[in-house]
Amino acid sequence: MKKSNFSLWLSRLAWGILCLDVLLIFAVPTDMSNTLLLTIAYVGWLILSLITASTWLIVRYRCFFSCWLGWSIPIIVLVFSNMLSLGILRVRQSNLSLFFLLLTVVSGWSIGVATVVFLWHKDKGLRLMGWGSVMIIWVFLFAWRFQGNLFELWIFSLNNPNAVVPLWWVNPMMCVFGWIFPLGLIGFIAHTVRLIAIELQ
Amino acid sequence: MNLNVQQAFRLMKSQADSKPKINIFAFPSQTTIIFALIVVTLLGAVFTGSIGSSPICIWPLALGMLLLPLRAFLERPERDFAKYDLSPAGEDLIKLCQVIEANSKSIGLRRVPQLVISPNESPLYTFGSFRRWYIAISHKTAVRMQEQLSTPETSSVEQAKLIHELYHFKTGDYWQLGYAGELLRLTFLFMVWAVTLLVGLGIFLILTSNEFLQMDFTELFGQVDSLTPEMRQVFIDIMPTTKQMAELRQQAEGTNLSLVLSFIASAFFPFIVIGGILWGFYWSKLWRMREFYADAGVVHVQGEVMPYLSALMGLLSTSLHSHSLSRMDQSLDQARFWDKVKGLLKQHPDFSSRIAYIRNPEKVFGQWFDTAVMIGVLALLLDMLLASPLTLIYIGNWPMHFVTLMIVSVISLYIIPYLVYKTSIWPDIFKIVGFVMTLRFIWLVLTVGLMVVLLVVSPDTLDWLLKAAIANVAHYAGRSDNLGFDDPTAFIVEAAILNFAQVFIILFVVLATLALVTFLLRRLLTWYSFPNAERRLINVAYLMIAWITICLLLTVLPTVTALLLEPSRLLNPLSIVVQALGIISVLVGAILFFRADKQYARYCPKCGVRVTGDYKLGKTCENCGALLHPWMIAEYEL
Repeated sequence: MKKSNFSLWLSRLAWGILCLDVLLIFAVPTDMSNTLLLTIAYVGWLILSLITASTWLIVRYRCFFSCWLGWSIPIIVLVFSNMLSLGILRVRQSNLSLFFLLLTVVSGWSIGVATVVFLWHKDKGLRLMGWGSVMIIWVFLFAWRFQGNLFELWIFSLNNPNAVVPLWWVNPMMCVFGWIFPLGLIGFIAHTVRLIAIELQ
Repeated sequence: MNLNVQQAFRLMKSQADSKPKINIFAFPSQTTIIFALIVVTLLGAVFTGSIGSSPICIWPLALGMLLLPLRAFLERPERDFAKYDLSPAGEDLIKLCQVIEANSKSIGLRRVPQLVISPNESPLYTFGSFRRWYIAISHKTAVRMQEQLSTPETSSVEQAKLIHELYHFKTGDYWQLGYAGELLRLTFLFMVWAVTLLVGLGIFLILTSNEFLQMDFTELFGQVDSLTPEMRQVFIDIMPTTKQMAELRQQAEGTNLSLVLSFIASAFFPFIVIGGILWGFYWSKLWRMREFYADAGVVHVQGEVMPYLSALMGLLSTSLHSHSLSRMDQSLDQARFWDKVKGLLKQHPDFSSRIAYIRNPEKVFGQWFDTAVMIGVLALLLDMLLASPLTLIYIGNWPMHFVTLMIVSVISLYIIPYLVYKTSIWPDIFKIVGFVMTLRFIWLVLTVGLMVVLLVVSPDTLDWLLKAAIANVAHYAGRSDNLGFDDPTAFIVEAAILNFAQVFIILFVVLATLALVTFLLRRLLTWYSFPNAERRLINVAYLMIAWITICLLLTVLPTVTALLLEPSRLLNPLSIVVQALGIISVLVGAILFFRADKQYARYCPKCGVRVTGDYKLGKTCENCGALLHPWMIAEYEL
């Protein structure tokens, strides 16, 4: 009983932090060029608190995140926020831009936490790695076919940071698969060891 | 319902033969044979293909196909628990658990399956891994079963149901089906994944190679203004150097990526197609066979048919009509053709089949046609798999070995029960072998015929096909040098002669080997005074068949293959050593066999008097009347 009360209060605290941070993002002006330390502290607080709060909430609501739909929510958020902060629908308003940038960072981290939760409950590591690798190949194939030489596009985006980035999809894809492959492998091995241990009991 | 049971029972009894019933557990398990055939066909072909080098790395695939089904099989209990929301039986079903424990011990199971309950209405079924065994049932059915176990009238019927499920553990079919099912499922998924990945990679390389190989990364990164010199150098160090790019360009010039794609498709698609055939027909047959063995287990343990008949009738729908019973009167042979075809795909045998198999247990071993189709189709599938680009390069020097060994070993196992209950087995052996070789002959006629037609109608198409086929099996697929033939006609004629010759050679070798096997098995079956014959005689039969198969592999097959393809191979030192080993094995085996034969054959174990003639089921000693090999006879009343 004590444990669940504590967990409930932590969840409320996490939600509170999330709401507070969203308020701060939109209430505090982004033009603080003459207070660098304050900027660093402010952005640092936002990132750390958002990451901590989102991590706790994913763990708290692990039942939801241990199914395919729940696991894919952070991915959808990452793709959407990346489109708006670095991609084809880039917003110009500074507070909104900061919001989506932070959302990108937090959702990138949350994919990792959600993947851990998902793989803890479901033995899908091999499936994620296998079909993930197929997806990478075919996405790059279609991208090269319809967008052109991806190297040249990358060089273009490095030289024109303010232009719409044609390879905006690469970052979220690398983020997702950067989590999936190592965690998938660990999950596969861990579940295999667990199965063998159960069998030998 | 009781009236229907009595009607069924009288019908069965009226049609029961007076001859003794064969104990199917004393002979090679048909379930195990089919399981072994499925596993050897799939895994054998992949492992053969991973022996040597290949443009793509095959051995991880082979290892995956071996281990992943095992892992999935170990995971099965968890999946079933989650899928059907199963939970361990509570205290209210303690009596049922005790009955399961008592029955498990009485039939000699090494562990007691745990009873688990499903919240939904579900029939009684078994599942598990190697060391975790479960019997699943709905709570309502479990409570009803527990009540009926307490009632003398219905106790034996409920016991019959439990013994049927326990026999799945006794015969081991639960893990055979578990592993085979996962192997078939994962083979399909694996191959689809491999094709999708490799074809995607191949197309990507085709699309990008020209542009990528012409890139100068030093110049490219030099164009990025935002990079510092240090960062620029980091990127340049990651990418291939100019020298490495030149080497890659050279390699790419000699590689035809379209041929690599063709290799991938033709290497993996046969597994997908053949896996599908195995899944559709052989998997269903495996299921049906396990049910017949479990049924037999019940009547063997209980010594009578009525309780299990009642249990089976209870499983039928309540609207059982009398015409369903009269349909039992129909011989299975009279079923319509499409009924038979549909029957091949069914996983559970119908009621009339189950009754027929209890009445005449030798039906488990099948008619000659069932055996011939099973072996013939599988031999053809194995041939096709081994002719795929993955394996042809390695087994091309042994074109007859694998199929011949498979046919000989499987038919030899089928001969054992045939010798015991059939008056003459040679008509069946001729028909089985004839059918198997006819299938192979027809396949050859079709393939050679196609080549001849193309040669006449469209020589260019034939030339293209042959080049693609050679490129596919080339040691390094993708090399497009020196393909094709100067004289396609000569190639087709030579290929036709060699392949048709193989059909007749295999036919002769198989018949000659089976003649030897039959002779030896007939002698073996007369070893009445062999100690612990009920446990050891069948093992001697297995050892003998294995020994003959090995001798065939070491002596006969290499000789005929060399004579057909390359006679000079016979003088190869390794070939001579292998042949010598084979001959020594034959001699050692013969000496051991005939020594034991002299000691044990044709002597009554009771009175020691000589017994003449071959063994047939129910044979007794002419002197003292003792029943010979009583363990081969099933003891249950119809």
